[in-house]
Amino acid sequence: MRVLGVLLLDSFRMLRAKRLFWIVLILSVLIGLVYASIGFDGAGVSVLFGLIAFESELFRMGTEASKELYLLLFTNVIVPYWLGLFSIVLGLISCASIFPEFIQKGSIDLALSKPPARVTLFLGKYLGSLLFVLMQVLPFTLIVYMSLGLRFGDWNMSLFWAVPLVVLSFSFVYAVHVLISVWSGSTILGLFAALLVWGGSVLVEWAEEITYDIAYSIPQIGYELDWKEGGHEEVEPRESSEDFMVPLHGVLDSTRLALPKTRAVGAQMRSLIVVNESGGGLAGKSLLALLFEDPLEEAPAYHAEVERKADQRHGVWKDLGSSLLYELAVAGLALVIFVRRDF
Amino acid sequence: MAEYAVDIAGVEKTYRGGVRALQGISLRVPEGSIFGLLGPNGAGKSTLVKILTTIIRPTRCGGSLLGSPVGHKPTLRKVGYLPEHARFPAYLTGRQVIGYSAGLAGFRVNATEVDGLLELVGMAGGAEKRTIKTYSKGMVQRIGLAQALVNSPRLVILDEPTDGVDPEGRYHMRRILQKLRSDGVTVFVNSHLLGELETLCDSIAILKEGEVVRQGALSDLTSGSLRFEVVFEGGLPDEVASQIRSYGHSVGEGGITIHGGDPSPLQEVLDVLRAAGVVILEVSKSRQSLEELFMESIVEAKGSREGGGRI
Repeated sequence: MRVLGVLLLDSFRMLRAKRLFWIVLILSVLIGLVYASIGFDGAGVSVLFGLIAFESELFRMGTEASKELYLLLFTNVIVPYWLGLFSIVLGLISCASIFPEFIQKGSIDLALSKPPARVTLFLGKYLGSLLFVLMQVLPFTLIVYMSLGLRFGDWNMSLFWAVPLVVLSFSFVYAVHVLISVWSGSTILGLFAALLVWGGSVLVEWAEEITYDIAYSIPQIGYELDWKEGGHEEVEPRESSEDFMVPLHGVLDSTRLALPKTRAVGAQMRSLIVVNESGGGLAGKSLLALLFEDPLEEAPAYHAEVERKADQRHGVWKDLGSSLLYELAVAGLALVIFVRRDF
Repeated sequence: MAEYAVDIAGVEKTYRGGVRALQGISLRVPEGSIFGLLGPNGAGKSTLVKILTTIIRPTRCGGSLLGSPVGHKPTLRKVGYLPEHARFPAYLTGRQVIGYSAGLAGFRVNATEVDGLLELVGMAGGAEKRTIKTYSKGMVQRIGLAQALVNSPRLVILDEPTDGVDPEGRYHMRRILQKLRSDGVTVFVNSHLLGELETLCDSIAILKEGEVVRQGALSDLTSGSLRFEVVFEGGLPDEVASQIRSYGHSVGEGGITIHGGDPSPLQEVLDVLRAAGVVILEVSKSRQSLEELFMESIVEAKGSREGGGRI
């Protein structure tokens, strides 16, 4: 345990010594502050502590919609784009050299010649890398938590789901980097492989989602797509389409199962972070839909049912569990290489 | 306490691809002594050291390190190690490197203990507060030695410890190693600086192509080369030279060599020279230098291999 503490302290010192760590942290705090600067008054919304104001009937002080908009900005914009994308990329770049530097000749010798087992050393470095993302997300989430609490009196602890889930997303991507860099000793190769696998898995997740909609959701709503002419026609609702889309979706779904699911983690984050106990009247709406459509207009009940089925087609535990299994397999392979290698 | 700090037998290492780095190394390092591991580049010195410190896994390894089987991790708590071309985390200060090394070894050190180590290696006085990246090679080696001693080890393994260290630093390091020996610590030095090892080591082993070609106490290994040298003025009369040669001694230009450590034949030669009126300038006792022993061992090993034999 003490050794793990020493390794984590070392990782913290290493991060502290990196300029990028401070840049990302400052950026993170700045974005948090911009978010905190969004305010509501009797006339509408303001940004940068009142510097820029927009009039709005819906989003103004005291309305539930304004609170939900505030939270949706966090869950639908900041979490997926800043925390879920840019923070992970910056985290990857910052942590990219941890393992390659650690296994360099002259450096690894010192650690391996000590009593701790190689497994402990590996885990210490791995967890130390995750510390980077944790230290970026935690202060940011704290700012958002304080903003929401101070503005709306809603001390929403569910916001803190962002911390473990973003770290989890990062770890899925980082595992590939660790595997390749432990195997090759190359920072660049590890980084490239991680981005490639991440990009590939996001693409598969996205393609699976689209093919599901075409194969199941659209037929269930009662539409049929015309592949030749384009457009669609209304037909009797049925369980699934009868073309190649069902088997194609099957292939993509199986492929998706074996890959890390960072988009699914993002979706989980959005479902776990709720405004209040009821989940809010705007839950499930995209931000664009919220801004350009009438958010109070009800969709037909059977549409909502189809959407619910689509949302729940993958169980939370299946998605998280299979992603964790993937990480365990990839990081485990890296560990085996690390343990068996002659340095 | 074990009689030998290192007592290994039949250590073999074959790398992937079939390269046989070690071919059955057996050696013993007595507790409380300074041991030198010598050998040309590629002889397998670093591989052996890395096997002892669990950095490399042996293909086969018998024997013990401080009484425990080689590879027994907890035993490494009692071992200090300075790797060749040590690369400490550049973001750490010298002081932090010592703390980091202690932490990995499972020790907690206080500021006074760290101060003592810094004082010992000549790094006290402010430099230890700067990050490693600002250090010269010699300073890194000094901090490297300090971190190797942080756990008060019973065995210190140093791989090329004086690499990049200035002459004053080398002298200082030698003094430290001698002090460690007097404190009962075993010092295992891997170096190719023969001159340094000669003044330091109690015993040595010479490696060539993964095999031990010589090993033992330095005094024993060179005892056969003991000789007396007599330097005289001018030339020797032919009859005197012939007489001395008949005793089995070598006569050269301005000097006579009497092989062996027994002083009696020397007296005989000196009597002959005095009787002939030869002016004696110098009489000295010498033995083979480590460098000569090393070269002789390497050449013998090469000859033996070419002849198809094994040492």
